Amino acid sequence: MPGFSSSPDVPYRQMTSAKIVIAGGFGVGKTTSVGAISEIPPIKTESWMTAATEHTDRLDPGTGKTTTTVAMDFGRVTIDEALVLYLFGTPGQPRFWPMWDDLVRGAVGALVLVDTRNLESSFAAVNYFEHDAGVPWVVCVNLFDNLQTHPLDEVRDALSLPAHIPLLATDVRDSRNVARALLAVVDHARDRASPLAIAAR
Amino acid sequence: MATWNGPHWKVRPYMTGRARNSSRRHQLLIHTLISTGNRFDPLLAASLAPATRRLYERAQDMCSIAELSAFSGLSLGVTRVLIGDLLKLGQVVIHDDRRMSAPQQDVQLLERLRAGLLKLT
Repeated sequence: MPGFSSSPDVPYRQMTSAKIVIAGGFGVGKTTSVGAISEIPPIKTESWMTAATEHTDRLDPGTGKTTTTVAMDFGRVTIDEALVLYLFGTPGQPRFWPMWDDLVRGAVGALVLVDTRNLESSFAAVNYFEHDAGVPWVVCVNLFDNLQTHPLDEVRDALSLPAHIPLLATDVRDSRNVARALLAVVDHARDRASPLAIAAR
Repeated sequence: MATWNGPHWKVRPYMTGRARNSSRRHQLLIHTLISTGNRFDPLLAASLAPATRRLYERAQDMCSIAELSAFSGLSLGVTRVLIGDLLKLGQVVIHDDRRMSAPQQDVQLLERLRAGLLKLT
């Protein structure tokens, strides 16, 4: 490996990390989904971006949530003895979008969460991954209270989602549901990386 | 104190290079895993600027750049620069950065992720 040829004397544990980004608008469940599956309490990273908090983000009055995560938060999932998966929730506020490039670099893929009561709030994330990101991405309708209010076909139409982008729906408060959604991201990445995997099905 | 055959630890990083330091040498992504590599030099730690020392001490346990940043109360940008300095000094190591460039095309990595996530469903 480049960079530390001068220090081969002490062995250290081989470990690989991977990253999946969880994106979407305000209050769609990014923090909830990271917290549901992370083995450490989600780390809030307000200290990273303290300069950019001049105004409070307002959500729809009905949601009862007046502020959202300032920057981003992240969690960790141990995949096997030598592989750890990091989950990063994107900062939702428009002024943080330039940071997304940095966040997404080197990611396995992205999970874009949408709330059918407020689809518009995730338009920016969908746009970003459709046009600018270059990583595999999957859209997941967060079923608040496990209620599916709209058929997925309608959601796909409303989002103008390309046919090849997987769309699923789940309640992200349950860790197993989050694992399934992340699995959809990994499957989509694998299908893109290895066309033979699709042919074999 | 751990033996170390590199430049003297009192020498500033920018003195060890022949020219301007390049931050392109290591790709420090927010999930890149860093540690001091099973060794820790208290004398070196004492010589470091407070922020760098916090990072160096924290890196005794392997963790990501993002965790180092959050735990040390330093911005991501500052964390990257200071960890880059420690890397050039040979005092921290990157744990397996081979797959960082295009992990979404690394089928073997994706299969391991699948297997691990399947157990959680």
